[in-house]
Amino acid sequence: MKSYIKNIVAFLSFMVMVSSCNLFEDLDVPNENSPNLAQAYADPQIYPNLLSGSYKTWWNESIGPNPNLALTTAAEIATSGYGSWGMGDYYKIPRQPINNIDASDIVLDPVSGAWYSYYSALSTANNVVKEIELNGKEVIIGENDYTQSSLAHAYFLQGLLIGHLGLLYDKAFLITEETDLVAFDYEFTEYPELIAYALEKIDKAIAISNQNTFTDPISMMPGVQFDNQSLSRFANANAARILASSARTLSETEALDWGRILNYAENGITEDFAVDAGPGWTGLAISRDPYSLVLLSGWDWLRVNQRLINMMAPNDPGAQYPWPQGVADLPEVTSPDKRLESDMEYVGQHPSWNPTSRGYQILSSYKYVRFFESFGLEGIGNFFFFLKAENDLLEAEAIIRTSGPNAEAADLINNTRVGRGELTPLSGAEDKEEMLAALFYERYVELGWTYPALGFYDRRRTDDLFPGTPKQFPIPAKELNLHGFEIYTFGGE
Amino acid sequence: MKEAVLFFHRLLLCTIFCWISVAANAQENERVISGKVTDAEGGEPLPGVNIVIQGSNIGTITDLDGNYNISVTDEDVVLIFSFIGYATQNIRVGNLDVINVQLSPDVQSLEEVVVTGVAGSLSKDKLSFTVASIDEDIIQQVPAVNPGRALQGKVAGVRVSGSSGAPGSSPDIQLRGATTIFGSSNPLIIVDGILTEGSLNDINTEDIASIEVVKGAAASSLYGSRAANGVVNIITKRGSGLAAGSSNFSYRTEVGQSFIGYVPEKSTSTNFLVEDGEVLYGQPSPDGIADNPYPSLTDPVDQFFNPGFYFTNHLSFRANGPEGKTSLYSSLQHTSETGVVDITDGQDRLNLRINIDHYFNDKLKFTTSNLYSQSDIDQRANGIWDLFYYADPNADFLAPNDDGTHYKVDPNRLGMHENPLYLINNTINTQERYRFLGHYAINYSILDFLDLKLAYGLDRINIDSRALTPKGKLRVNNEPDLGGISLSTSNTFAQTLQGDVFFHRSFGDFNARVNLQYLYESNEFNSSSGSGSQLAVRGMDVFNLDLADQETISNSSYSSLIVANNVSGMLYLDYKEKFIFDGLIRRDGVSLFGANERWQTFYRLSGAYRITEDFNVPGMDELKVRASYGVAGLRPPFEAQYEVFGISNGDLTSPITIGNEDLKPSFSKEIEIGVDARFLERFSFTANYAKSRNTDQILNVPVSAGTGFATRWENAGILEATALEFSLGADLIRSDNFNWSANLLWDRIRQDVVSLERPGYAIISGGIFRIEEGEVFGTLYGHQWARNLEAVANQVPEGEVLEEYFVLNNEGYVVRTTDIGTTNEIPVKVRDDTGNPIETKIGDINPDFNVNFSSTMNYKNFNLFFLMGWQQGGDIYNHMRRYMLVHNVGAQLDQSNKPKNEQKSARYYTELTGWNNSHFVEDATFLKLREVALSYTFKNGIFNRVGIDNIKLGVVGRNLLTFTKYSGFNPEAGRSEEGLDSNVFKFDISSYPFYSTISGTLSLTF
Repeated sequence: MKSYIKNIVAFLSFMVMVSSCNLFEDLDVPNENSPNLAQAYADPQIYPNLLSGSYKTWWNESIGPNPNLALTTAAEIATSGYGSWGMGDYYKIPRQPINNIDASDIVLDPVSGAWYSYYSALSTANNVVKEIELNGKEVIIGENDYTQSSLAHAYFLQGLLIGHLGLLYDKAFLITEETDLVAFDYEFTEYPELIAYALEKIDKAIAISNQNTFTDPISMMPGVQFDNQSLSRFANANAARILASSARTLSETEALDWGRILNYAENGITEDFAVDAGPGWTGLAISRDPYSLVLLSGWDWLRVNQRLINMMAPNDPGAQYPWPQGVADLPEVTSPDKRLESDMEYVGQHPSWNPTSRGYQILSSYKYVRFFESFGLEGIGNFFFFLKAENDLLEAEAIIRTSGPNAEAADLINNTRVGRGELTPLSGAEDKEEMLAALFYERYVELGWTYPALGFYDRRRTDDLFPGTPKQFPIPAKELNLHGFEIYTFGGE
Repeated sequence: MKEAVLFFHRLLLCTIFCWISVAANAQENERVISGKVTDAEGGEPLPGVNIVIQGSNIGTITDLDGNYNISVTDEDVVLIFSFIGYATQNIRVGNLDVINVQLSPDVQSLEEVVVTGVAGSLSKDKLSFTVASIDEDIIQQVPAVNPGRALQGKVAGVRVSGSSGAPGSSPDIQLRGATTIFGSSNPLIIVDGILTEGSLNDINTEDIASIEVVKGAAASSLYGSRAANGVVNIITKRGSGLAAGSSNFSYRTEVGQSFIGYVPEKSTSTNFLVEDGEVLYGQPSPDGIADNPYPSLTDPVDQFFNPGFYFTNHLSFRANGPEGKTSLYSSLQHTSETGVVDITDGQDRLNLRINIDHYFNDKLKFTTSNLYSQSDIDQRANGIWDLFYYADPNADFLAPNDDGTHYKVDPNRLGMHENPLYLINNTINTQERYRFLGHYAINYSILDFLDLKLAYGLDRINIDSRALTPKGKLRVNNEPDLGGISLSTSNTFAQTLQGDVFFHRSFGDFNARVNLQYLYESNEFNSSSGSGSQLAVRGMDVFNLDLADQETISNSSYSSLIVANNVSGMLYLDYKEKFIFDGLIRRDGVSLFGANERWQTFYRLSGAYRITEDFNVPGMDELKVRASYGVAGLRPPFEAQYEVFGISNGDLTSPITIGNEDLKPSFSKEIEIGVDARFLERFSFTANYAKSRNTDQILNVPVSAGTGFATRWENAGILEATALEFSLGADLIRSDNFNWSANLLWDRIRQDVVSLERPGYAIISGGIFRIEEGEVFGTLYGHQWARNLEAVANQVPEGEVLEEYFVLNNEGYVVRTTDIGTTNEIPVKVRDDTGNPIETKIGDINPDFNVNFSSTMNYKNFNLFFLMGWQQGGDIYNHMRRYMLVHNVGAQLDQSNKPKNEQKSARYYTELTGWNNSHFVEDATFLKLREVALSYTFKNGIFNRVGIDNIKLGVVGRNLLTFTKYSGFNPEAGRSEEGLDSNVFKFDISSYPFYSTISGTLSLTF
């Protein structure tokens, strides 16, 4: 009996000993790594930070490798001997229909990148509008009321994101602050309506900015702390870009409300817009591959398309376009445009690109070096996304298309044509066709390494894309499959 | 730190407690029983018979005349008389002082006992499901650095492969097919009762006494929601195996070299012009054919691979106290494994083990197992394989740079690829691992038929990694790098507390065992990492992140806590030991399950009939049929149930996953039917048919982009696996001087995705593996090169005739008739009517069957062991061969040895290098000599005089020979990105190859 008692005491002491520390935890374990939506929107003071996160997703997608590399190579602004991020399917000759299948890693699929990124950023913009407009939340930080500035940013982001979806896709879901996602019927809205909605939202942002005075409590993007005036200018510039780029054909371009574009451009940016892009802001394909086209140019993954070299020196033997079949190397080119020397560098034959299977159209002897110092080789620094020159050219185009060529438009084009290219100035006496040709020359040569999709939109809206190039993306097959919709595609001869 | 303090606090209390108990114990009344043990048939005395007091470790052995003496404390003591080859007898002492015993020879002397998944321990003959075991004599023939590799080829239905063969890497283990579409199929690893969380690489094989393998849910259900992938139970050596009052040291050392066997070949010719001993890069030869021999070639084996040093030392001490009350096993093991890449250091590991058993009295026992492990791993060679593969066939890695430093940074002309040796020599990339495994248990036999057990286990893992690219290191363009540092650390602290009640009693012809168990688990994990670039100083010895430009610094951290409460009840019942029934039920409450599904049920029902207990089958020693049905599970990843908002670099970015409060574990529901037989006193045979239905697959399912979220974790699929396994063991020859035993294993496994509640999807390399309802799991998808004319009928232009427009070339590919034999000749893909190449099934990784054969031969003091593996069929995708062709260095490009009419242009091969296509699907059939050991044991002679019991000298070989047509390093290579199972995803891309090792061994026991 004594032994029993001793053993039981011993057994129980061991039991007490091993369980004496705070071993037992509850089964309801919180996730300490990130908040959920309710936590994220509970405190209006962090709305500026949430909006900054929404800008970040938009920014990374808009300068990242997917779909921009496919678009810039398909538009013959840049060129690459690699097939990564779907590029290989877009610069092929003859052009192929987009392989819209639900089989691939969405990071590698150009059709999917913007679709997923822009919608994820849109949910933040919608939620902030909902909290402020529908639920009456006020953004008070310290002594200051940032409700109107937050609302202006949220509207601007709604417009920017739906607008970019409308630029890329033939149709999309119009998700607004009033959409009940549980009851949503997943009906698509065609791109003209998307663009109209986007501009309506940007107009609201512009109106709030013009009617209020504020300075953001934080930098929405690194190095970019908006006040009401700079936000208004940036919103105007983007509205001009979105509306002008939205046309799929030349006739659609001509039918655009160029008066509205002129108004936007006149109130647009007055200096170059750049983001001081450090870690986390250097571009992403949805969730990885933080490579912008400037960085990839630094790595010699991208070069200047021979079409651009040819535009700058049409008769030079080294600038033959298309690149001659069977020729591995072409000599250095001389151009009256000084930007061939200042922005580009002759580096000769690429050591790894193989034209025999991908086609000789991929070859180029020129690197684009203009932004190496500000951003280039390390992939961090000032990334110039919206140059004043683009705003000038939008204004010039609107003048030409509404009033015909004149000296004002010529001056706007000459800003870079003469200011950087040192080419003969336009007088304004040229005819419309000549003026537009000079204007688009500037758009391709001057703006090609800023917003990478720009060249694609420009060639699309002038009926100038290489035959068979898809003019817009279909809804990604993955999304269509989810709703049981039929998969479709664009492009091909 | 808090945990460490608590641990030592507990250890101290335990030690004090031990002393109190020992002191109390010393006052028992003792008397001495004596007697003689003889053979029941011949009457001869039996020396060396083990006599143990039941329920204790107190015992003695008979002397040369069969006599023994043993002290007992009371009349209820039962003595157990056991001797190899004889039936064990249990005798109650009562009031007898002399007990003479006659032992009868036991025809079931091959009987083995297992402890995994059963109530306490159970003879294999009484199992109604399969528990395979690998014994010490097999494991220790060729002790693997990583015990996971020790499973290879030794149990039917087990696959062991991995995506890397680097020193310190851990293989993926798959038992009887995949149970999960997403994530790893690695089984639950138990080490001496500890439910482990980390890599098997921290555990050394020399300490292992046996490994038990529980393959499917039909057997593993006792471990509930952690056990769908099966269980591997590693049992280490203990001092209690020694006779009371004895001790020994044993020392084993192994010294050898690792080397690379086969290296994928490169082209010996180029399609550039070669003149005057110079390759004219940039000037392709007009015919576009790579048949111009390089003036010089480099030997990668000579320049890049370096036979590495392999060195292990293992010293162990075993002791059992004078009365067998306290026993100890302790060991110290050191492994140094350089690997096969020049300059690198590989892995250096130090392990310390202490296992103690102590009987306070014949009813109360304390056991503990402790392992401390520490490793330094040089990871510089892990990420450089692209650079090795892509290098020019004539690249000279050993040439100096212009500044005189070693290993020219840009030795290639075909592409801009850094010299891998330069990168290795000028960077740092290390991992330091620290691990503590501890288990503390107290067993209390309250009554003859009732035991209580309480156990505490912990697994503590700390991993620190750091990498440095020093400022000034050259880039491939000869520009100086600005430098970069990255640091990371992670900690895991897993604890379990387990209470068991065992009931075991006979009722007439019925024998019953009941086990009730409560198990608490907690697992805390946290990690943090930081990186930055543009360093302020140069040099290889600075690791302060503050040296990086502040704008470039990026940090992240992660933490998780997993908590589980599990209760189970198990009943084993047999009638006359011939009709066997077993049933169990377990309820798991786990924090990883969604809030609405927090408690889940797992169970097992099984039965067996031992035919030979009723019928005398000539030559048959044991014949048993059995069937079992069990349900086990797998837990979701930590974040799966939560709604997650993305964060990066200080910003809340966007929503990521929609929460799921209804998320359940996945369930593996397995039925296993089998036969076990032993016959002619020297053969054993097991056959199993097992079918598992793995429901509620945990998948990260895409949601509409319109929601703003990307995905939601759901239970959304069913994966079925069917396995057929046979194993045959034989003692082929048993004689005084020569013994030969062998094992033959055969298995065939099929796995299919039978249901998928989401659109089909594809993974790895942009989607080469297709997960699709109704599709075989492990199906390769891609573009198909046409191999018959019908396949391209829709590509013939109007007005042309199929048979005239296309033709088959000498490689069996369809090409344009007008192009054949010209530089324009290129193969043609199968396309749909719109001209797009069709994504179609291009391969299946599942082999037709696997066979493994092992043999152990002893002739006098010689021992020879070998293990061979054969896989028949199954495909592997050789993505590396594709990349070598893309970079113009692949062997297939080489046309120099072909007749003119069979030569193909470089363009032909570049066409074939399109992404994911049938050209790179290869047959993975192989025959491997995995392990060989030859040894000689000196048992007598002068060594005994200096106190050495025996000396064993031997030679050991690992992964020595591979016979295969596969053109890559290893036909078993796989891909495990994002935790996927490399046993399923046979996709070969640049990684550290699996190499061979030959070494000499010396073992001493004294």
